[in-house]
Amino acid sequence: MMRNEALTLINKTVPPWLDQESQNSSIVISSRVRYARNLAGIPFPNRASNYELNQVYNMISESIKKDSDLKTIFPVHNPIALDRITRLQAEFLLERHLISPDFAQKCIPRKDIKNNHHLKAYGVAVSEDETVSLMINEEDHMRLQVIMSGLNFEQGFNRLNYIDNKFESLLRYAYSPRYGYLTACPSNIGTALRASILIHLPALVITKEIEKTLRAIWQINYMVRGLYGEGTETKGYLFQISNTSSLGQSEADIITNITKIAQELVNYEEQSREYLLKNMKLEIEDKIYRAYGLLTSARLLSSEEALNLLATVRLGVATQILTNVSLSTLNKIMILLKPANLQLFYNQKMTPQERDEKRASLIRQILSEQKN
Amino acid sequence: MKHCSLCQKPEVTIIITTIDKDGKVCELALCKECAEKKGVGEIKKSFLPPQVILSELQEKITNDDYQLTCPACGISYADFRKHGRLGCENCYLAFSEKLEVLIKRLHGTTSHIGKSVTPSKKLVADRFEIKKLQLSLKKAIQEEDYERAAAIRDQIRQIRQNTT
Repeated sequence: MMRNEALTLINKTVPPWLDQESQNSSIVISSRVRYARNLAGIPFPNRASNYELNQVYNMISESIKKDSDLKTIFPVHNPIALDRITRLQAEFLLERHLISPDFAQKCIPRKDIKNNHHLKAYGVAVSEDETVSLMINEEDHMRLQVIMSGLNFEQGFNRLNYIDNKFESLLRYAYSPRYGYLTACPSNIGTALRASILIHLPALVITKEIEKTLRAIWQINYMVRGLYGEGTETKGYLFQISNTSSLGQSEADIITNITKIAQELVNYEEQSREYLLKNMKLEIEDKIYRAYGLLTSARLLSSEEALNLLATVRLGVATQILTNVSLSTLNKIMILLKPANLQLFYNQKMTPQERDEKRASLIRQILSEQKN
Repeated sequence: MKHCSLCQKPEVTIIITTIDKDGKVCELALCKECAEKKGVGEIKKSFLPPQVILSELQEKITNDDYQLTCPACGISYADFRKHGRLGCENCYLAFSEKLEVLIKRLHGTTSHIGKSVTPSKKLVADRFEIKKLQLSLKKAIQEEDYERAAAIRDQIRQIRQNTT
């Protein structure tokens, strides 16, 4: 019971931030920014003793209690130590981009350790609207993240920076004037800021312009990954793009540059959509209606298939070929179809087969509610 | 047919996409000769993603890398090369010569621009830190752990010295 209570704060249905439709949100699904921070005088998590990890945990949670703003952002039960989180809940947080795959991995019970006492030193804090999340003792002592719907780096970054300043007034960060904020991996030093977008580029994929586009992005030193990581580029027509260099440019430059890249991509995708609608209208309509037809009538849907169909339907909604579905409904389905989110939504453990059935029926239900 | 941006020859072997300081995306098309003159091979190398650069570190670890250690946390440079993670903030000093080259490859530069820890923020942080250390000092004395108490006392002394 204890374990479940810890996560009651998190919205079981859908992250509130994803419900809003904002600027360019039909193409850019979300904008994420994160800071990596370490406390001065304590080894980085990979080298810290359990005592030191606990020290870090306590210093951060004390800071949250001490500062009224931080306390409001991260209310009761924040942070939650990983020993109070089940594996399923960890996957749920991972699917919502609130923790990293490595961090979720920690919650998988280990055969060589009898109890999970050591997990008390690792923690996660999430704001009520799920825009802000903080991992304690991941690769660095602190990984602070803000996620916003659509292309919205300005608001997201301001919030991130505001929270970071609050922590900085209470904690001593590892910092050098030459290298900036010091991190466990030298690839993150400097501003220690990573900015990334999750972007939906179906028309660029269909017109086969995508490879050229992504190569150009790679050449200017930005990282491109598929939704599930490398090698899965075309799943759901979704791509993640982020800066790789964090040193030698100011935070504002990093934010401005990624915003410009996102805008360029949006323009390019829009041009490709126009081209498709002009030259291949029937084929595109067919593709979209088929995807919609499958989503509204299939009895078994794997998360991968559902995600791919959903991506095609999303193109239909954005181009106004489909008018009876809203983007926020699609966003909602996109989160709920994921294995752990689906199980926690129904509050029951399911086998993959049961999940495919429940997933299909839930999607049918949500889409039929939209029709009326 | 594209022309070389530099010598205008109607032959292009490589197109470089860059972002200038205003964030504008520019394309530079180069013929083979101009690309070689400009050392495009080198530019390309610096565009390697960090994962590739870090995984290259795992190759050819030398004896010297085992000898070079961080006095604060004890990891060797060889440990870092194997795992790609440093042990503590002092590693940046202990391995500074070698890291400088790596950081240049990873970021294209070695000096930080942007947000910094400001003295006023630091003062507040220091006071908070001292207060907490004093608490743990008290606890250490209560527990008669004098070795720990002495270490904490020195830590407090050092912070005070740095602030004044």
